[in-house]
Amino acid sequence: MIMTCKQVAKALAENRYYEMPWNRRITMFIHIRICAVCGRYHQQVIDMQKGIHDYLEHEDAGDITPTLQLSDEARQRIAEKLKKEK
Amino acid sequence: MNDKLLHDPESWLDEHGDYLFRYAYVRLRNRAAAEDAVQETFLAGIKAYDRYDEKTPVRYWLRGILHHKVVDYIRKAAREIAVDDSEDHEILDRFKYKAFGIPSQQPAPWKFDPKHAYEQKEFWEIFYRCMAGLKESMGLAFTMRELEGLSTEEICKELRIKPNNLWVLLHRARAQLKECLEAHWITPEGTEQ
Repeated sequence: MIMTCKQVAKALAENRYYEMPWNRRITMFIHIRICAVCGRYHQQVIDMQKGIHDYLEHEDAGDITPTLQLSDEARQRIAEKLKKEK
Repeated sequence: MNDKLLHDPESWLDEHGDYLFRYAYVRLRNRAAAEDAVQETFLAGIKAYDRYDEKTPVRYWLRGILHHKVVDYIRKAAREIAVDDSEDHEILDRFKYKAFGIPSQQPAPWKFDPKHAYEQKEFWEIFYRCMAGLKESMGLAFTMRELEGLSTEEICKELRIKPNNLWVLLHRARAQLKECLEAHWITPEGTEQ
């Protein structure tokens, strides 16, 4: 089934591309590849969703470690709370 | 030795504190709120520890609790901020979205190849920093939709906005994220784009 530009826009606004069923993704992919009107815009939306999808996988695996950690003050406060509550 | 003994709550802070803090920070974009969410997660974890069934590693079990804390915080924050939709009509008109769902102006192409960048380990720290830099209502909408996977209806209800306004917020968030990534990601030398 061929999708219209509006259907592609609606589907991408309501669902994450990489969580859609493969048959829906294929029809969307075909539209985006051949559509000169909305193709580039929606390809960028999908590229971004792919980035978020991959980010979440890396986050799950714990292999993104920005130089950001709990402050010493918060760490101490939480440690004290944990001792009390245990 | 079973998992429960291996994961005494007193060790949670050292083993999972920073991981959970980074998870909360990129979603809440507020250090104090993220630290509070981690603390509340540990305290809720202690209370619910008897129900921990060891089927999932304790880190993911705690993260599941944190997910609810994050969404609760966002709900409260959403009540306190007024979403500025004064520019929304202009953007919607420009995109002719209501009628056709298509942009009347093509976006600028990527300044780097995203598929290639996604394969580079260093890229994800920049991605993290750029997501953490999204502002207020735009950031809240982005977290709820893209990171936590809430439905359009739920988000519109929480932010008290219409689906078209949500679409504009997400459009703006993606544009800001793209701009930030393009400003900070430099393709490593010697690799093809």
